[in-house]
Parts: sequence; structure tokens; C-alpha cells
Amino acid sequence: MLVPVLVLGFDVPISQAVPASLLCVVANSCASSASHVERKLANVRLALVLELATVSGAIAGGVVAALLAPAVVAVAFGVFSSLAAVQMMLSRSQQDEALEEEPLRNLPLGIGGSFVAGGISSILGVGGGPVKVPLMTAAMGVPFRVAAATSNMMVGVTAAASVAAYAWRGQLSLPLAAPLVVGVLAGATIGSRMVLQARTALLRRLFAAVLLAVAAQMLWRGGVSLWMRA
Amino acid sequence: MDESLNEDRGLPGEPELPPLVIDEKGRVRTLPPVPLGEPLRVPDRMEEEVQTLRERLAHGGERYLAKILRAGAVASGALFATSVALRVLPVTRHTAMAIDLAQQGAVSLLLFTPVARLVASGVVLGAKGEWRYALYAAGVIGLLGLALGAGFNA
Repeated sequence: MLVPVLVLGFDVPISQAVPASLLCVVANSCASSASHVERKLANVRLALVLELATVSGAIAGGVVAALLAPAVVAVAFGVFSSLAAVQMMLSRSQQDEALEEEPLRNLPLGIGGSFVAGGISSILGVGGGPVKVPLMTAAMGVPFRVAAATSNMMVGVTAAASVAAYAWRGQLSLPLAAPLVVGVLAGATIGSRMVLQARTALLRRLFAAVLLAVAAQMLWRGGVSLWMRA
Repeated sequence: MDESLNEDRGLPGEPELPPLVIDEKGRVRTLPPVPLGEPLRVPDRMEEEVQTLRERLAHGGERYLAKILRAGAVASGALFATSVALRVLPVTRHTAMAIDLAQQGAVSLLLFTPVARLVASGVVLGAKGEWRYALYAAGVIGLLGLALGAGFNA
């Protein structure tokens, strides 16, 4: 979400906007996960299992990236995110308000989905949340707030590795990232304290709106690229 | 135990006889036979400390993870905020150096925090006896190192 704002609103080159945005993802993950873990909202064990699949998928994505057209992957991801957003908007699960851990369903599907999410993240440079949260809620029976908190915790590790790679190549602009991170840390700290008070239906709708925005961005990016090629 | 009581008891090759002791009333008695199986051992001080640490880690697991994450976020945020505040000052060689140092320290802390959380998750779950998850944590760290080494954006 931050990349288009920086690029379109502040004329920041995309090569600087992407690593700065990823650093904000790490900051958000650390600040909000502290509260989530303390309140047992994030499932640490599930996070470790899915992180292993996600990082494996990211490596596989890096290997096959040269064989796949990123525009096609972007369009496919956009379509998937749109469908997931609609599903999020329409579904009213009974387990939404529950927070206690229940036996997980479809763990192999969750692991497979996380592998795909890691691959997509690696090819398109987006977070795996749009894939993992719907997967955990719809397929694995994880309550929405637990799924969101667990996904948020997981994304910090993978985003940190990405930022380290950008920094290694000298593409991380710290003067740009510093004020953004300060703002994100403040917002994440306040937001993580409010999450227990908020109704899950509202959080679901907010998440669906973010998913739709990501989907629109991906469809636009992929569509324009395919149009230019044709 | 009086060691002289047990000298020359039993013949070589025969089953060992239970040791003799003198009780508080001065009577010679045999000690009850030690049951076969694991040898009786008194835990030494270090073993007790390790056990206590293990129990503390297992019970306070989530709290430790939260502390690591919060400390990383707060310290890094403070350093980033300092660097932003220093930009208001007139630019000199010293302020430029201070800004640079604060930013580099902040970014290093921020990037290290999720990895530290991962390591702590492995340690905490390992202390609880959940070695499978400790192995997963080690696997994730190993794969991230591999990805970073190969130049992939994980």
C-alpha cells in the first residue's frame, strides 16, 4: 500500500520505495506482534510451520522467476486476491469471535498454500498476507484475528531478509525510511492495542478492502505490462 | 558407611552381596538392594540450575518472545526518531555522522529483531520438549541464510 503512495504522491523512485516499504513491514510486524504474542493472539507454532513453507516457496520462486512472466503472475494474483476479498466480505463464520486454539484442519493445504504465497512474494515483491490470511481462515479453520496476527508475525522474518538483500545491494535509502518507520511503529503500537476491542466483522471488512486495493494494483501492473507487450 | 565391613565380602565371579552398614543403635544391617534400572544419582547444582532455566523458559515462553519484539521495536524506533530529530539541527560534520550512526544502528536492530524472535521461539519450544518446532525454527533460519546468500528476496 505504501509503494504507490510514495511513487505517485511523493515522486519517490520505485527502486527506493520498495525497500523502504518492506522496512515498514518489518517495523509493523515487530511492534504489533509483541502485543499479539503476549495476548496469545498469534500462534507461534503454526507460524514456524508456515514460515518454513513460505521461505522454501520464496527460494523456489526465485529459482523459477526467470521462467515465468511476472505480468501473468501479477494478473493471477490480482484475480485470486479479488476473489479472496469477496469471500472475506460475504462470509460470516461462527468461529470469528473465538480466539482459543482449535485443532487445525487441512495442514497440508496450509503448507502448500504458504509455499505458493512465498513463491508469489518472491516473484512480485508483495507480502504473503493476502494469500495466507484467507487460507488460514477458510481452509484451516483458524479464527480471523489469530490468522491476521500469525501472518503479521511471519511476514516480519521474510521482509527482514528481503530488506537485508536490498541493503546489501545499496538500494535502501535510510533518510527516506526513517520517518516512515517512526510513523509505522507508533501506528502499529496503537493499532495492536485496539485490535481486541474492534469487532471481527469490521476487521474482516477492513482486511477485504486492503485486499481489493492490492488486487487492483496487481491487475493494473500486470494488465499494463501485458498490454504493452501485445 | 564403615568401608572395613565390606572388605573381602563375596567371591570373584559370584553375585555381589548387599553392602553392610552399622545403624544408629550399633547393629550391623544390610542396605536394601538398589533396584535394577537407572542408577541413582543426586542432581548436582549445575543440573538443577539448567532444569530451573528450562522450566522458566517453558513457562514464560510467550512473555520472552514479546519482550524481544518490543525491545527491538522500541530501541530501533528511538534511534530512528533521534535521527529524524537531528535533521532539524544545522548540518555539520558531527550531526551528519550522528544521523548516519543512529540510522544504521536502528536498521540493524530492526532487521535483527525478527531473527532473534525466531531463535527465541526455537529455544523456548525446545525447552518445552517440542524439538520438532525448534528444528523448524532452525530450518527457517538456515533457509533465510541460504536465500540471502544466493541474493533472493525471500
